[in-house]
Amino acid sequence: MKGEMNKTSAGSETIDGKESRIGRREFVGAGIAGGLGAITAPRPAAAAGGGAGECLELLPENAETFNATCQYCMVQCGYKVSAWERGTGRTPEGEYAKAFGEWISPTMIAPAEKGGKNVYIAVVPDQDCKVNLGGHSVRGATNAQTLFSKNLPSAAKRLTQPMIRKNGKLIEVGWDEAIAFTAENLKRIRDEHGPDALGLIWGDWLFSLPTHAMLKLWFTAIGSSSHAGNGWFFDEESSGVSHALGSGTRSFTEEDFEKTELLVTAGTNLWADGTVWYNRMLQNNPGAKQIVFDPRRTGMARHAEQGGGVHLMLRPGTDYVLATAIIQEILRRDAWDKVFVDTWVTGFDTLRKVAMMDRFFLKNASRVTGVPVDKIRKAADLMIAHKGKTMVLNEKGIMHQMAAFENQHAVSVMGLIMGNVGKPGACVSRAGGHPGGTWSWPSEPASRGENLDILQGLRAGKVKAIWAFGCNVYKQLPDLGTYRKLIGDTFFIVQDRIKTEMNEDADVIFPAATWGETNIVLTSVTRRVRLTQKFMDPPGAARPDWRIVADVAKAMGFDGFDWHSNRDVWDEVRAASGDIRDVTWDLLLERGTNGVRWPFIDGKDGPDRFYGKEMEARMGKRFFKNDNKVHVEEMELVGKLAENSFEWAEVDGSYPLMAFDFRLNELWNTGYTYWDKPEVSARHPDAELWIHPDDAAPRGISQGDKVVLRSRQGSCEAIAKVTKDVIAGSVGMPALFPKAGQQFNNVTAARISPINGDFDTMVAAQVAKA
Amino acid sequence: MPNQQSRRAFLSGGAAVVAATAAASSAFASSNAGIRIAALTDVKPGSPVDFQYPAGAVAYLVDMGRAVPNGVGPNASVVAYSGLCQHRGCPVGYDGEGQRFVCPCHRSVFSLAKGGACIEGPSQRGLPRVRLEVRGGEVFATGIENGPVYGRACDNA
Repeated sequence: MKGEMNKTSAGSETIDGKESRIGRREFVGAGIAGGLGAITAPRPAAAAGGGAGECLELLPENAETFNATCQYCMVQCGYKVSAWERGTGRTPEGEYAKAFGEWISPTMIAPAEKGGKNVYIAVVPDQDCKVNLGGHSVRGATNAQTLFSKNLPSAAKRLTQPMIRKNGKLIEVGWDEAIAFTAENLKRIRDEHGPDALGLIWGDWLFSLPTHAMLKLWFTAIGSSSHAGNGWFFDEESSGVSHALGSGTRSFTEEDFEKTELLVTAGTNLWADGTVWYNRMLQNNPGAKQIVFDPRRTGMARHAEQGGGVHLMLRPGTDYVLATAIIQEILRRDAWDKVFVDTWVTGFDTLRKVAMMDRFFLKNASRVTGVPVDKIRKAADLMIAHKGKTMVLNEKGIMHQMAAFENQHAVSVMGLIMGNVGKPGACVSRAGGHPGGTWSWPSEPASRGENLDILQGLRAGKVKAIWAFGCNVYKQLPDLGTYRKLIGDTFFIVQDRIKTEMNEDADVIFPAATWGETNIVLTSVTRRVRLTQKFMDPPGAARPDWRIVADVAKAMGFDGFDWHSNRDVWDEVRAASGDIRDVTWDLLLERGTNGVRWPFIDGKDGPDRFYGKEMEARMGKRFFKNDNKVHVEEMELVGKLAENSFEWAEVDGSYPLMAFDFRLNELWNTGYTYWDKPEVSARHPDAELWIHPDDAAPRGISQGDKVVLRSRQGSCEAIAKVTKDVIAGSVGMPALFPKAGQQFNNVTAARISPINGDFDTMVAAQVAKA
Repeated sequence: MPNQQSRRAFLSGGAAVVAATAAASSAFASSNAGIRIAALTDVKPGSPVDFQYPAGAVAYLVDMGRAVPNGVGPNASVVAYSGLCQHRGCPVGYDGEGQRFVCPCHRSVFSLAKGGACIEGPSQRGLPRVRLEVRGGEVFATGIENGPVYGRACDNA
């Protein structure tokens, strides 16, 4: 379904004219290929139907060009965006793109309106960007398909006018009225119930400038500490790493994927979630081995096994047992990096005491994790063979659960004792993050300690207003059945780019400008700070998020929100942050798609990777902890966590399966652009529930059946994918699937991990045919 | 750097390309019904025939062994697809068992049962289909559907 809209249909005369020229080229081509040269009658007119003879209009040489980074994931590939008036582009004949990856796919060009003219906009992966070198994922290659055009069907879902609820109905109003209505209600609630009655849920994949504006309004101006970042309800996702290294900041650089000998992934399906990094390894480092911790045999897990690595198909939530068993095996073989440990590690004796416990002995760990002994042993072999040349990456698959800290810490320590930091091709790090996270964090009101859990505030009736800022809380919050009603009953402000189910309950809707419609600053997890330039106007009355915030702030009577431009907001952000203070707007403009590398100190870009000599030279120390050491003594906590705690303890006769969620390659976040891309969303028109044949058969479930997944909290629907690619006894389903009734968060429980306050997407469940 | 190299140079020096069964296309003739690919008798289930369409761009003729949409031949089982991955232009390899094409560069998987659609991996689009006609026991390529073929702006051959 690519772009009928952006093709030009040539008239038959032109086709005839082209045919005769192309015929000569075919002749030459065939001759080179050794074929019998032959020839060239013009193609009959009938053959010109059904696609033949149509051309994609490409950007002209003089098209306006802008720099951008991808609107999606933390890899943050660079793109070049061009806009030109329709009909002024070029349609080269024959093969125009000869170099690898130079081609412009139909998905990279979309129709739009700009400056009163009908234009095409091309969003093309940048060959000169160090992140992607012209590469792209299925998500990034379709950035253009998400752009607004009043002539596309997707226009209908876009928010273009402010709305407020009057007499029970949402009606479109002007900005002044919407802002005044919001400010009055927020002031009223604050005056009656105190500032903490105002609750903020913010998506930190929103862009840096809006995040700064909003946190300033919330903490500094209003004085509320009722907030939840990340669009979820808790935001400490790095503590298993930061307790060892002193910071959760991601420490690797893109080139490491081309230099590593061994890639270890736990809770991150990197082929799907960090596609371009992984593709750089496939393409330029095909000999690299892999260890994959995953309850599913994903495409990446298959690659791992095919390439001489190992897939550890484990029971969800037992990652800490598996990692510690590998540590024990390494210790038994006396094979850790002794120089690194003696120089840099503290707490090794505690680690040894924990790791050598009987429960982490191969056979015992195998029983708990479900991973065969020989596979665990093979993982240890690989860790030892590639000592100091291994990337150990972890993400949400091991942290969105009650054992979040223990999993992340054990996996990290497994990498650290092998000295896998600060060297090319080596790291211990989280793999993900949010490109729109903020650089500035105004001090939070003293009441924060009482308001850490905004769900508790909602349950207690303490939170009377919720502002959903750049996130769809109805897709993200756990136990949807309970909390949707509680949020719907508050004074509910929705600030978003598209219409969602939140509209049904909203009292105010603010239409926001999005990617490409206003200048924004995004940061990759490899710490590259870059500007994505405005290349088109927002539709209707939609405005930049920071401006909406500033208008509400001013209407509430607050000072300090007199910004006139995105640049003004940036200047305030950088002034509040030591490490990017000197990164001016002009510098960002000048650096284009390669940007500036944080921390930017003394006019110089930060180190490529942390925890090595380069960091020591640039930043004065090798590790962030005060004593400049790596700490592993908190493995003690890993030793204390009993098997089958928490979620597994809830598995019983009524809820005999463990349900978990996972990310889809094709689906970004809450799927706000998913259906804009017909050929991509066709891959997963429904949420599929992965269920092992041994679990499906007794339930009479066959491939393709509609099924219901039920937990103590609620239920959702899915289509059964009966497969041995998921471990028996557990079922997996995509997170955040954008289809009514197929949302996994109907079944999750509103609880947080005891050590670091991470939320939980593992839950005891039952499955039946619908 | 691969982005500086030609696609073919990259491939010959790097990833192994799964070779599809080479055959035919020696009579690379065209007529007003298109370009001759092969005699129908040369196309066997499980053994795709590679040819160029448009000139210089590899394509594969496949007998699916059963009737499929847009199939030609006595069993309506013969189809053809562009062999260049839409992701970054690497020639795909044939995985007969799965009736799929798999790109050796970044492992995109294209299902023949689903009309060449990409079902896994980074390719943003499926493989364009080569429209076929059978005349006198010979298969001719007569156009491209769901194009353009990688490297080109136009659908015409």
